Amino acid sequence: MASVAARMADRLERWMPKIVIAPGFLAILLFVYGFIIWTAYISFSKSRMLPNYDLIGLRQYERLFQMDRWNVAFTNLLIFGATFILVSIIIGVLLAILLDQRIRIEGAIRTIYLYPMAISFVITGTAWKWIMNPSLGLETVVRSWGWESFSFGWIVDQNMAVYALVMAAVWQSSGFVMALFLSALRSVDQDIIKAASLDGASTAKIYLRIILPSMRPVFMSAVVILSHLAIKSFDLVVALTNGGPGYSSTLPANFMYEMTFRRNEIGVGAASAIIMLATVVAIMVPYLYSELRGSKNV
Amino acid sequence: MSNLDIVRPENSSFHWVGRLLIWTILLLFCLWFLMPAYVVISTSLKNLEEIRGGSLLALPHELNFTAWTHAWNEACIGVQCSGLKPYFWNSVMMVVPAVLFSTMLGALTGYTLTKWRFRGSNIIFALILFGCFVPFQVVILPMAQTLGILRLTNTVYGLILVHSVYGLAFTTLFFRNYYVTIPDELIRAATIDGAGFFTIFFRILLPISPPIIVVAVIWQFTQIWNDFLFGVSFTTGGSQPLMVALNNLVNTTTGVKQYNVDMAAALITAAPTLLVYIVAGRYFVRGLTAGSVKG
Amino acid sequence: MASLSIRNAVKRFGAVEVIKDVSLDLKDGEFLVLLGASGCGKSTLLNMIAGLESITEGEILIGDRVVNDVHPKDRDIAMVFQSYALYPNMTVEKNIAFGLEMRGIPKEERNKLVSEVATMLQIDHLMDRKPAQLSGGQRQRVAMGRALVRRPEIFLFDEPLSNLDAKLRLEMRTEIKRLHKELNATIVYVTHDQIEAMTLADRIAILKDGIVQQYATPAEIYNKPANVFIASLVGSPPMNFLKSRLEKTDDDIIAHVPLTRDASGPTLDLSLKGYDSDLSAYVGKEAIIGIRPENISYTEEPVKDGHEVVTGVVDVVEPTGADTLCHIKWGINSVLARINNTIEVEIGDHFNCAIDMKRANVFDPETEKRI
Repeated sequence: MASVAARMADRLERWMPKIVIAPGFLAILLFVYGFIIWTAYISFSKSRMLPNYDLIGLRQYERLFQMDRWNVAFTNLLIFGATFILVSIIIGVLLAILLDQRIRIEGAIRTIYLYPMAISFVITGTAWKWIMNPSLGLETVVRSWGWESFSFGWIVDQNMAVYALVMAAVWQSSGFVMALFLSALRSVDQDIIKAASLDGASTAKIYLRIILPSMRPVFMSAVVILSHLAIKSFDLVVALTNGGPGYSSTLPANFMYEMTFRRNEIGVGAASAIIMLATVVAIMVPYLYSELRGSKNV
Repeated sequence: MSNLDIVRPENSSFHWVGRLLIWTILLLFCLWFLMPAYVVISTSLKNLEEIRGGSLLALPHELNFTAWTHAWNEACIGVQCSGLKPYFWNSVMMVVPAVLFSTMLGALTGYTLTKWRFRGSNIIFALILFGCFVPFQVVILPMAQTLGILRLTNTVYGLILVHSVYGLAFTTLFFRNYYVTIPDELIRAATIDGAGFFTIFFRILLPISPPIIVVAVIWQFTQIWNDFLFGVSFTTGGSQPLMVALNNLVNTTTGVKQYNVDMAAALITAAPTLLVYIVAGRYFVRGLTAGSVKG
Repeated sequence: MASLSIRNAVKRFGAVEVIKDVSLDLKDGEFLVLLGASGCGKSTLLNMIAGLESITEGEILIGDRVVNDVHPKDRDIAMVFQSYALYPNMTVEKNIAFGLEMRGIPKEERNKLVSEVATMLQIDHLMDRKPAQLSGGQRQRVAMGRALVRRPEIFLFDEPLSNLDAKLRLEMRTEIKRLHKELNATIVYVTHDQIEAMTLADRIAILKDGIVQQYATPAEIYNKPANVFIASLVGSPPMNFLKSRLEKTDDDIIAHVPLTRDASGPTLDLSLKGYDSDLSAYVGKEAIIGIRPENISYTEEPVKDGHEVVTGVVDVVEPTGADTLCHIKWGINSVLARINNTIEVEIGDHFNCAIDMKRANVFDPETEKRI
C-alpha cells in the first residue's frame, strides 16, 4: 500500500508544475484572449445598447470610419504619438548623456527627473490643466513679466489642445526614457571607448558615431514602450482636456469609452477597440518576436 | 560610468564652458520637472483670493492647510460632499489584496515557467507576456458584462479581480526574468537532496527573492493605485477608487471653483505612490526598466 | 557503495541523438571518469545516471536495481556540481544538512553527521557562513560535504574543479583522490581535462558525439589509445603522427616515412619489430605511426640499443622548466620531442633523435583506429 501511495505522490509531483500554472494561465486565457474574441465578435454584430449576437459583417467598422469623431481621434493619435515619442526620446537621450558626464549630484537629479513616473496621469493632467489655465495660469505670469503677447491657452485652442497633451505626457515620460538610456550607457564596453579615444575621436564623436549607434535596441524598446503608452492614453486626456474643446483632442481610447459607456454604441466601441489592438499588435509582435528569439540562446 | 576623462583635457577653458553648459541644461530641466510640483503645492496652501489676485508662481503668504482638510473631509464629489476620505479607503481596500494576489501568483508562475519547463511552456509564457501589452479597451466591455454576471459590478472585489488578473502578466514577467538568472543546477541539487516542487520554491527560491518581490510589489502598487480606466468603467458613486474620485472632484462644476482644494486633493491622491518612490526609488526604477526592456 | 551498469543507453532530444548506445560497467568502489570535449554527451550521461534526464532507451542499474523510472531522490546518489549549486540563503551547516532533513533524519543525528563531514573536510570553522562569504575552494569543499554527508551508493561529480584556479585545482584533485580511497566510494566523474582523468580514474570512458570511444584503465588508454582521436586527446603535448608505408623484410616490418613530397624520394625507415598486433594485412599499404614526444630522446651515439636513431634539424625550442620541448624537422615532417632540460639545444642544431619504437602505435589511415 505504501508504494501505491508513493507512486501517487510521484505522479502528483510530476503534474505539479502544470497544476500550479493552470489557474493563472486559464485566467489570462479567458480574461485576455477570450475577451478579445468576444470583443471582436461584438464588433461584427449589430450590437448597440446591449450585446446582440446577430452578425452584420463589417458594418460597424464602416460606421466607425464614417464618424468624424473617430477620424479626429485617430489623426490625433498619430500626431500625439509621433510628437510625444520624438520629443521624449530627444529629451531622454540628451539628459542621459549629460548625466553620464560624472555629475556629482547625479542621484538627486535623477530622482527629480523620474518622479513624474510614479504619479498617475490623472494627477499630471490635473496639475497641467491648472498651469495652463488661461486666466490664472502660466500665461498670466509670463505676461506680467512683460511678454504681453505670450499665449499659452493650448487647452482651450482646438488646434493646440493635442500639443497640451504632448506637453504633459512628455513631462511625465521623458525621465523614464532618460533612465532607460542611462542604464544602457553604463553598460557600454569601456574598452571600445578607450580604443576610440586612442584613435583620436572627440567626446561628441564617440557618442554620435559609436555609443548611440550601438544602442539601437534601446531606441527600439523606447519607441515600442512609448507608442504603447500613447495608444493606451486615456486618463491624461480625461483629466487635462476631457477631449475638448469639442472633441478636438479625443484619442481612440476616449472614443472607445465614450461610445461604449455613454452613447450606447457597443458595436462601434468594440470595432474601435479592435483597431487599437491591431495597432498595438502591429508594433508589438515583431518586437516581441525579435526579443524572444534573441533571449532563446541564453 | 562612461570613462571619457581620458579624452578630456582638464582645466582648459573649453572644458569649463562645456561643464557650465551641461550644468545649465541639467538644472533647467530640474526646474521644468519640479515646476508643476511647486505650483500644485503652493496653490494648495493659498486661499482663493490669493490665487485670483496673485501670481501662479508666487509663494503662499502663510501655511494654510484648510484646503487639505476640506479636500479630505468635505469636498463635493458629484453630489456627495464627503471629501476624499472614503475613496481613499476604497483604494486601499482594493490595492492591498490585488497586489498580494498578483505578486504571489506571478512568483509561482514565473518559477514554474523557468525551473519546471514542459512542452508548451514557452508558448504559455509568450501568451502571458503579450497580456502586458494588450490595450485594456479591448477587454473592458466583456469585463463589464462578466462582473455584472458575477454580481461584482460596483464592488471592491470586482476591481481586486480585474487588477489581479491583468497584473499577473507583469508580475510573471518580473519573476520569470529574475528566476532565469538563478542557475538550474541549484534546482537539480535540491531535487537530488530530496526536495519537491513546493519545498524548492519555499525553502530555496523564495528566500532569495526579496529584491524582485519588492520590485513587483512596488510596480503593482503604483499601477493599481494610479489606475483610472478600470475604476471609471466598473464602479460608480461611493464605491469608486480614489483616482476616479479626484477626477470627479476637479470636474465638479457646482459652486465656486476651488483651485486650492483641487490641488490639495491631487496631492493627497499622489502622496502614497510618491512616498513609495521616495523611499524605494531604486526598486521602482528597476521595475520600470525590467518590465519594459527584456522579454 | 554499489556497482553501476549502463546497458545500451540512448538519449534523444527530439530527433537529435545525444547518447548513442552507451554501455559501461563499473564495479563497487571504482572511480570512473567520463572524459570528452564539451558537447560530447558526458554531462547528459551523468544526468541520466542521476535521474535528472530521462533515459530514452536501454537501462541503468545501480547495484542490481533498474533505476530508469526511479526519482533522483530515491536513487541514493549524491552529486557535486560545476557551479557547486550551494543554496545561497542557507548557512554552510544548513546546506550540508538539507538533504538529511529532506529524508526525515532526526536533528540530533543530522548534527552529528554534519559535524563529522565538516571535520573531515576541514570546514568546521565555516559552519555559520553563507555561501557568498566563502572562497571558491571553500565552496567546493561545502559542495563535497553536502554529497558526502548522505553516504550515498554512488557519487556523481560534474566538472567540480573547473571553476578553481590552477593551484587549488591540484590541491582538490589530491583531496578527491584521498577521499575516494578512504571511503572506498563508487564515483562517476565528468571532466574535459585529460590530466584530471588520468590522475583520478580507475577507469576512463572517452566520449565523442555520444559514443564511447574507449573504456579502459588510464594506462591502457595512454599506451594503447583505441584511435587517433584518443591518442591526440590524451597526453600533453600530444602524440606525433607520421604518414608512412609499411613494408615487410625478412624478420621485420618497416615503416617508410617519406622525407620529401616526392613519393619515390628518400624515406625514414622505422622498425616495427615486436608490435603487439599483426600488421601483415597492412604490408604495402599506408599506415599512421604515432610516437609520443617523451619517446623521442637525445643521443650522442649513432646507434642506440632498441631505438631508431634519426637526425633532424631543430626548428623551435620551448623550455618548460623540467623538460624542454623541441620541434624537430625530419624532412617535411615536423615532430615534437620532450627532452631533459640538461641538454642544451639551439635552433638550427642537428639533433640525433633516439626513437623508442617499442612504444609506438600504428593506426589505420582510413578508420583512424589502432591496429
